[in-house]
Amino acid sequence: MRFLHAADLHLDSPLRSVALRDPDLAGRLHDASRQVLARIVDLAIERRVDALLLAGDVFDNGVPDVATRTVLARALGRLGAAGIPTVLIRGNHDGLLDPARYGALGDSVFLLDADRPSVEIGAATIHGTSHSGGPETRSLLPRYPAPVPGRINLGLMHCSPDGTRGHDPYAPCAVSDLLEHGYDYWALGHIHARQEWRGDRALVVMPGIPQGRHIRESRGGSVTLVRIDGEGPQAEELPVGLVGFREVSIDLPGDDTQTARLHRIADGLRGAAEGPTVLRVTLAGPGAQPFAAGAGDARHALSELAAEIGELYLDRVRVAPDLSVPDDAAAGDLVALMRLEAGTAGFREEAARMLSDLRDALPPEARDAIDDDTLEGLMADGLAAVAARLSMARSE
Amino acid sequence: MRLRRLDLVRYGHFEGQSLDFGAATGDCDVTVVYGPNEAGKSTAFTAWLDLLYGFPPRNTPYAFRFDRKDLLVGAEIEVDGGTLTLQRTPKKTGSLTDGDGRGLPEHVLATHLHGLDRDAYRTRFSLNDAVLRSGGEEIAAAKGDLGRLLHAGTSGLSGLSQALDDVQSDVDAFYQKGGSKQAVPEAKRQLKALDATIHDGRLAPLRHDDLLRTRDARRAEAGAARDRLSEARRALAHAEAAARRAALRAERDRVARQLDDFPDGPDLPPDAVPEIAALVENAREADARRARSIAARDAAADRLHGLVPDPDGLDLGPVIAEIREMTFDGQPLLMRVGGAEADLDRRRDERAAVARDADRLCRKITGRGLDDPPPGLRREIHDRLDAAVQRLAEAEVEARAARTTMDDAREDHGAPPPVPKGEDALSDALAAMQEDAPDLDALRETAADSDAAADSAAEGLAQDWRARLSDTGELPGDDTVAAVLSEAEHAATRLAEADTHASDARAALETARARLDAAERNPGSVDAAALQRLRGEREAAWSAHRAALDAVTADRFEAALRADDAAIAAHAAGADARAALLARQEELAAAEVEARTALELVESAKARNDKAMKALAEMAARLLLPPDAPGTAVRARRTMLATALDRAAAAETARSRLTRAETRHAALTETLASALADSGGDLGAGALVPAARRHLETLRGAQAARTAWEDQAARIDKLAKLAERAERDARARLAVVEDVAAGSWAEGMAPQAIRAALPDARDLAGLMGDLRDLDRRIDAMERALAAFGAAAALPRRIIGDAEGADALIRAAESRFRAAEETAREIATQSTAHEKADEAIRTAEMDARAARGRISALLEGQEGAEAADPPAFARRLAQRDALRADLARIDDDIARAAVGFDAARLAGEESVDDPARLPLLADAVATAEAEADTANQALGAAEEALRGALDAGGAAAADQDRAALLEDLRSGARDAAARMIGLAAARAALRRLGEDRRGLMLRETQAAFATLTGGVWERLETWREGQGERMVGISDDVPVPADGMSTGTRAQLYLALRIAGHAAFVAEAGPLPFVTDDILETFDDTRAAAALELTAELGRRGQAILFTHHVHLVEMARTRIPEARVITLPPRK
Repeated sequence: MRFLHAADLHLDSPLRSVALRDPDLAGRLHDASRQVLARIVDLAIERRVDALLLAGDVFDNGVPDVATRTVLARALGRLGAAGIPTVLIRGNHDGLLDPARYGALGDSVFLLDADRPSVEIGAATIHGTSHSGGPETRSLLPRYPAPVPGRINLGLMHCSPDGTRGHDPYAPCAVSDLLEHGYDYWALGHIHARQEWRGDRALVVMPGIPQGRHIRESRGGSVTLVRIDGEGPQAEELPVGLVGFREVSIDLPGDDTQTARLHRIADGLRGAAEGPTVLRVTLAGPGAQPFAAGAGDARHALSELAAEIGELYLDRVRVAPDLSVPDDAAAGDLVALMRLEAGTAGFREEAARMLSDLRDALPPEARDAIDDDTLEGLMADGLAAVAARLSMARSE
Repeated sequence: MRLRRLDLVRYGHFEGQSLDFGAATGDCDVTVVYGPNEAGKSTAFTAWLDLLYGFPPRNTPYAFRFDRKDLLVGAEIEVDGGTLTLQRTPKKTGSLTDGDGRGLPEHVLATHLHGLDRDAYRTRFSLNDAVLRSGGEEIAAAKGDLGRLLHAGTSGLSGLSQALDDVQSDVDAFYQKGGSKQAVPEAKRQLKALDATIHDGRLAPLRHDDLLRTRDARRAEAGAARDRLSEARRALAHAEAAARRAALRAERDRVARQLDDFPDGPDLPPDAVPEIAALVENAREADARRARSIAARDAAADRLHGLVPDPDGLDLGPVIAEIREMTFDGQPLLMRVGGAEADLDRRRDERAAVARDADRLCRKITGRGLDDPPPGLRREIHDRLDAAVQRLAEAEVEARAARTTMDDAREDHGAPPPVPKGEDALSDALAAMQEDAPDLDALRETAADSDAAADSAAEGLAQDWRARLSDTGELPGDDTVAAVLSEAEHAATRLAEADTHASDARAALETARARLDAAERNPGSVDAAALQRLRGEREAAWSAHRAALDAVTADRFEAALRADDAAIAAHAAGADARAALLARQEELAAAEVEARTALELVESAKARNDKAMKALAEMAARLLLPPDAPGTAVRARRTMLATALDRAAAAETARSRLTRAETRHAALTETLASALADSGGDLGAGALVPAARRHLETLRGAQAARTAWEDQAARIDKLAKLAERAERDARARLAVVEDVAAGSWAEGMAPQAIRAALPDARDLAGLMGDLRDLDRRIDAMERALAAFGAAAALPRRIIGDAEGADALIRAAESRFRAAEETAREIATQSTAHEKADEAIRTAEMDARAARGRISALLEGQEGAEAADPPAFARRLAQRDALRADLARIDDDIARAAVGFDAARLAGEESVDDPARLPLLADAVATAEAEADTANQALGAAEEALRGALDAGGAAAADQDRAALLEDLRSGARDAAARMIGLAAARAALRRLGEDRRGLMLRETQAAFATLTGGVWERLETWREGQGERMVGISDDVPVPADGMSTGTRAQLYLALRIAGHAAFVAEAGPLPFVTDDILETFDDTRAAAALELTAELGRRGQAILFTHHVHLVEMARTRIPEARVITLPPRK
């Protein structure tokens, strides 16, 4: 039997990147999660799977829009018309999956919960339990039925398998317990990076988010095709994401000409791009410092290079301060003094106050960008930027 | 560092040009370099920078006369009391060499540049008119800010203010307090608009619930309306059905009456009317067809009588076709026969001529005729023979040349020279001595200078000052001394202040006491207690007087009475006096407290002063001074001891370095001497290094001669081997010639004879080939003629003789085509006769069939014998249509009752009310309107729900919002960083102003006064906010620096640069300072002043002044007598 396993679609949750300020790109990607859902449906039909498994967080609590259900219902309806059922569970973001309030999604869609913990699809029995609405601080595994003898058993679970970080500690669960539960395959959801765990007879897969939304979700972009036959479960990762998020650091020596630097940057960008890519770039080394001289200088220079490469979109572009560079001899007196000043408690206090003033002027959602923890880095960046501008004044 | 000579070996338009600045003389090191415009002053300065820092990595503007790789700059510079001769090439590595081209590491120069890179050196130690002007602008841009001005003077940079303004602009573009056009407020506006769009675009769960409830209610209302409409429509339908059935019955009666006028008979078959009309037409058309066929049959019979067949002509066709298909040797036979008839005789003549030529050559080569031709007359044998004979000749020439070369070389080779020894060891030792040997003289001089400096610094101290200083512990730090002195001074001040304060407090106390005493003496100040006491005294006096009733007691009573009355009167009028007394009492109490406090302060200040004085005495002792030494002496002594200690340490370091150098030098000397002796050299009476260098050159010469002799011997051996190989090669090639000739006409002939006979043999071979070819062609022609004769026997018999084969064939073909045409015409006319017979028979049968069918269709009809069958048939058809109408009306009456309730329909049929139908129709219309309204409401509710669900949400606005916030985050980080960096720069400038204000302000003030001829007598600073502003004073009138005229600002900038130079030299040491025509915009007075400052620069280090003005050169000679003048030649 074949199943297509996906999770954490987070439908209509926007992509968070400066790159999306480009109107063309925003126009193409504003419904990225919907396009990915359509791709998943196409893939399920093309691979003739027995069922589509959605392991929670189909929706996103940050986007409370009932219209999103219409998108999902139509996509799954198309799948049902092709003879392929969908089995899903609610995750911690799936308030819109309440059938009592919003109705069912269609005849071919099976939502597993306490009232209906299992469904039979061909030779397989699929088990699952849905998020109850409150915080799940304990393992959900005890709520899952024992495997049905003589049938293929699959489990859908939205949880935090041990060893994962960076997410809410939601429904913690030991992978070893899953592997020993007697199911052939565990279709998990919740963690946005893909992972696999294989036991003697069972396979546990966290498929990751099908479309990463920001730079910390660079390890998603796929769904998992599961084949279960006499030789046990086999998983195959299938890409569906429209655009990937990547980070790259490009080191620029100090003795390059500007042309050579641009060549080196272009090579770095080209090497980091894998298909359509949103790229966060850090320029490092002594040769990078001139790019810090003016606000937006680095981004402007890299934008032209990225446009020539094609399908490469810039997220933040940062110039890392190069502390190894000795103080410039001419501007050096001043730069050295700046560093001395920056090291005093009085200056740090003043800098923290300036930071606080600016933070208060920002919309609340953006204030985290310059919270107190960022002070050290901002001081280093600021000193480097002013030093670079002074150095430019000398060469002018 | 000082530049003694700059060599422009190949640079720009210069070749072999040197600028000799000479050795420093006197105490003023100034060189004026004069040259007209374009003479190369800027080129020379750039060359100096290239020498110091290397050529720029790529295109240099000075590679126009010479290729970049050939550029070369050299210099002789003075450093640390010695000189370095250097050269610089544009090579990527190893570009710095000594005067002999040996590579030098970069640090040889870098250590004397005090950490300055190329640009920093250029900005700090060069000055031209453009820099002066931009420096003046910087003073204006900096608004006279002291820190920025001192920075400009120190660094030589003049774009600081613009740079900081640019950074500030970047920050301001993002956010400014109270601003409305920056990125932050603009983003907030956009966020607000996006939030509204998102709110409108999303279908929130609560709104969804509302829409759902509304739809369900509308759905129920629409269902009820539909039910009412259905009932109204049913009632109307029954009434309409009853009316319809009544109308159908009336129609039936009318049709039945019409049928009575038509003939009886069965119904006609379907389509009988058009069929009968068609049958009548068919019979008429068959009759016409029969007449046309009879005429055609008669015409065919007439044509057949005139045609005669030709069987012989028809026989010719296959034979001619066969002859045309025949081939001979792959070509059509007829074409070959035509060729043979034309060429056969000419080919036979040609063969006879060739046979004669061949016979002649056979006889020339072998002496025999053509009937016995020579063997091996083949082209490949001739080619191989030709090549073999040619190679043999070449090999014989090479063998002779190789032998001659070898013999010549042996004659020139003499006896072997001897082998030298020890060259490598001597070379290594000499290199080590040259590269690693320390400069002992310089180190000794440095050590002596250090000792002298140490002694000078310790002058005035006891001999054992260092030991005593060790006994007292480490030299206290400057901060520590300053703290002790400051505390002593502060404590003394505090004590003096406390004494003064205590004295004031005591005086205040006395005053308060006196004022209280005066207040107490005022009668009006009597208080209630005093009144009570006086009243008691009066009562006691009265009691005593009543008991005694004598004059004494009476007087006492009277006195007491009066005192009491007076006190009562005074109290009644003394409220102000009592208030004054109370104030005086409080004043006294406060003065007493103040006096006590002042006394405590005096005690405290005394204790602090004692402690500070004790600390000062201890500090004096630590600094080897008497305990009562004043603070000024303590500070001076600490500075003196610190200097003395530094110089003593420096002297020790110098001596230690000298000792290590001497050891190293001795080791290198010993190694070199040993290497010289081992290699057979003789030290003699001269110095070691020159002797070693000379002997090394001797050894290298001997080694070169020995190497050349060995090379020649090896060459002779090689030549002998070459000669032997060439002779072997010649012999082998002769054998090849003999091998190729074997079996052919050349066998046994000498190579030269073979070479001579080869052209005839090649010609004979060609003639023999021609003979064979001609024989083959003649034979083929004869055979073709014979084949044609056999094949063309029949045509010749039928046609007779013809002029050649082609004519015969064409005549036969003509006869065949005529016979064939006649046969075809006979066949055509026979077929036409037969077809006409068949058509006549068919037409007769068609006419009979049509008339029989008409009779069958009208059988049984009343009056069927009528003359016009089609008209009769149409009448019968009208009758049949009326019969069908009657049946249809019966069916309609029955069908009109189908689907209706029979009882309800019967009821309606019994109603005789003309207004019933309109009434029921109105009821339906009313119900329909109600249902429409309900359905529209339901449709609107469903559409609202569907529209909300299908609206697409607000994903685009959500995306824009997320991206905008990311942009804002990124911008906030950048703006915050730049804001902090800017604050650091401003703080640093304040610190720079504070750190350098002393020395630099003094130097700037002196230079500025000199440059302006004393018009600006001094510089001051005004504090403004957190910074300070530089102000010039002229005629006691203060003018801010940025408010000065453009020319004055340029002079102030020059003064700042001179002060910056002084500060650098004081901290790091001198470097050549180059000015380029900075005086040309000055009048003579100011130029003279500037030259005096140039002389001042020259007293601190080397000053080089480029100019193209002759009068400035003369002025420099007058103002600076020690100045050296170099004249650059004009550019060609």
